Amino acid sequence: MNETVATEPALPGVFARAIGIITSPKATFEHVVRVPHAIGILALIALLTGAGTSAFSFTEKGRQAQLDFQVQQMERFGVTVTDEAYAAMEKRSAYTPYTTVVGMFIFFPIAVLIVSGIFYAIFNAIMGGTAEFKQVMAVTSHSWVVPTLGALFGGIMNFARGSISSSVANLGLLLPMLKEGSFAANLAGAVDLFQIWWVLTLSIGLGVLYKRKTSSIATGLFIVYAIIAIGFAYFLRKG
Amino acid sequence: MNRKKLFIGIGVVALLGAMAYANIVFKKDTGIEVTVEKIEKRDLEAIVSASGKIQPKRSVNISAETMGKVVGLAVNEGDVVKQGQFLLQVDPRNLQTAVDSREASLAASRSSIEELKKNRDTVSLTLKNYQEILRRQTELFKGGLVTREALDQAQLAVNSTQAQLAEIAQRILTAETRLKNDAANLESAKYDLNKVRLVSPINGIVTKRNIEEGETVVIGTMNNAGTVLLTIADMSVVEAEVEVDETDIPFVTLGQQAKIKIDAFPDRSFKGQVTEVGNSPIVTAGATTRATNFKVVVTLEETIPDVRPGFTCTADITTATRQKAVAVPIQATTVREMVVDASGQIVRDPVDAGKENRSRRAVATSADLKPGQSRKELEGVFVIKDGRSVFTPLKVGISGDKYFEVLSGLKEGDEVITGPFSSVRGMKDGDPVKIAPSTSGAAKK
Repeated sequence: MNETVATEPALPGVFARAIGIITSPKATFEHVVRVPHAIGILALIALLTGAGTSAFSFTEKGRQAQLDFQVQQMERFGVTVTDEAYAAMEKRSAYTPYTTVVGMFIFFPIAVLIVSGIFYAIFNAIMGGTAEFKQVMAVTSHSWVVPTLGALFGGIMNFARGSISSSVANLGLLLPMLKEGSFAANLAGAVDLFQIWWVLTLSIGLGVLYKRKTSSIATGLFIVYAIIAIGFAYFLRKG
Repeated sequence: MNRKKLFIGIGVVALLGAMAYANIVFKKDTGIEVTVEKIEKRDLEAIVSASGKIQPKRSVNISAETMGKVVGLAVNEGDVVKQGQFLLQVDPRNLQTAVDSREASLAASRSSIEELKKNRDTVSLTLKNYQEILRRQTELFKGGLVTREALDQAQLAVNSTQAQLAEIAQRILTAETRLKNDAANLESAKYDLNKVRLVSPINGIVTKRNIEEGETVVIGTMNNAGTVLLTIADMSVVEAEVEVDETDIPFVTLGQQAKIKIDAFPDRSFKGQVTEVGNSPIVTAGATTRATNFKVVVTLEETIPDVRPGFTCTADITTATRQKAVAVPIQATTVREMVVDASGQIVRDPVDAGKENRSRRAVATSADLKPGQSRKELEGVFVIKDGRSVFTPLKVGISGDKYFEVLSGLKEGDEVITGPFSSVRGMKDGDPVKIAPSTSGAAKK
C-alpha cells in the first residue's frame, strides 16, 4: 500500500515572488504567508530602490539636479539654504548616490519593521487576529515591491526629464492646469499611482494573512491615505 | 481570469505611459516666479520730506514795561486787531502822580526863570544909570569940577552892577538848565504813563493771552516766557518751520520750491519756497538719543484762511528735477556681493542648461578666487535675460517718489525684476526665473 504524503509547495525564488506580487498578488501572498521570509525581498527592494533613486545622481547632470532638488525641498518646507550650507551640500553631493544606496539597506528594514508593527498592533491586538509578526513583516516587505517599481520608473523619468522630482506618477502631472501651490494642486500631487497600487497590494496581502475581505482593508487604508494627502495638501498650500 | 489580468495590465501600462508622457511634456518650469517692469523714461522729482509746524512770519510778544494791576483788558485770544488798537490798561495812578509832580516842578522852574529875568532887567537899568553917572563924572573931572574920589566911586558902582548882572545871567542859565531837566523828567513820566496803556504794534491775531483783568503784571524780561502778556501774530505771511534730517540737508538750498501739507487741511496743499536753511543742528533738551535735524523755513506763497500758529505740517521740498530720465523702480534695486576681476567686471559662470541653479554654484565656488579677482558689494538690479536673472550693476542719480534716475547700467526697454520681495531678497545672479502671468502683459507693453 502506497502512502501519499502531502507536501507544501516550495516557496518561489525572490525574483519570482517580486514578479508575482505584480502579476498575481493574491497567489504570491498565499505562498508568502505560508512560508514567511522577508530578508531576501528586503535586500532586493533596497537594492532596486537605491538604484532607481540614485542612478541619475551618478551623472554630473544628475548630481546637480539632485542638489537643486534638495534645495527646492528644503525651501519648500521653509528652510533657508545659506550659501555656506549650499557649499557644504555641494561638497557632499559627490557621495550622495553611494550613501543613498547604502541608506536604503538601513531604511527599508526599519520602515518595514515600523509598518509591520502598526499592522500587527491593529490586526492582532485590536481586531483579534492570530498572524505571527514574521508573517506580517513578510507581507509588508513583499508589498513594497510596488513602490520599488515606482522608484525604478522615477529613475527612468529622471533621465528623461533631466531633473529630479519628488513624484513622477502623481495625479498632479495629469492636471497641469491647476494653480501651482493651490490646495487642489497639492492634493492632486499627493495622490501617487504607485502608492495607490501599493495600498491595494498591501490590502490583498493583509486580506490573505488575516483571512479578511480585501475591500474592507483597502477602504480603511485609503481613508488613512486620504487624510494624509489632504493634510499634506493643506500644509503646503500657498494663498 | 486571464482576460481580467490582461485588462488590468493594459490599464496600468497605459497609466504609466500617460505619466511618462506628462513627466516629459508638462515638465514644469523650475524658475522663481517674479514680477517685472520695463525700463522707461520718466519725469523725476527728488523730494526731501520733513515735518514741522506752521508759524507766522512776524509775531510780537507783548510784555509789560511797568509793574501794576491790570484795570482794563480789551481783547481775547483769536481776536483780530489793528495796529494801534487798545489792548490792555495797567493801573496808571502812580505814574499819573509822577507826571503831575513833574509838571509842577517844571512850572516852578519856569517861574524862577521869569523872576530872574525881571531882576536882570532891573539891574540892567541900574547899570545904565550908573554908566550915565560915570560919563558925567568923567567930564566933570576933566574940567576939574569933581574930585578923583567921586569919579572912582562912580566907576565902582558901574563895575559892581555889571558883576551883579553877570551873576544874574549865570543864574538864569542854571535855571534854564534845570527847566530842561524838569521838562525831560516830565516827558519821561508821561512816557511811563503811556506805557500802562498797551496798544497793538501790528495788524494780526491775538494768538495767546496770559493775563486776566485784576491780575498784577511784572516788567517783562527776555527769555522769560512767563512775563509775556499777549502774543499777536501777523498771519498774512506764514511759514512752515520744519526739521530736515542731516542726510537730506545738503540737498536743500534757498529758493527751492516746496509743497506744504497742513494736517488741519488734509485735502489741500500749499506752495512755498525755502527761505531759510539752518546751519546748526536742533538741540532738544532732555532727549538722550535723537536724530540730528536742521531747521528749514519754507515761506508759503499763498494766504491760508483760518490758519493758526502751531498747526502741524509736512513740507515736500523739491531738491532736484529731471525730465525724461531713464528710471528704475526703487524696489528693484538691491545690493549683492559679486566676484569681480581686476578691471571691475563681474565674473559670471557660463550658462549651462544642466546646471539649473547656476547662481548658487557661482557663489559656492567663488570662495576660491582666481588671481586678480575680488569680492565687491555692488548696487544694481536683476534684469531678465533668457529666463534667468542677471545681476546688473548700475549708477543711480536722483531719487523720485518711486523711481531712481539711472545714470548708467540700464537702457530703455530692459526688463527688471521688481518682486515679490521674498523672491528678490534671496535671488542670485543666474537664477532661473519666470515672469508671473499678471505682469507678463504689462512687461510687454
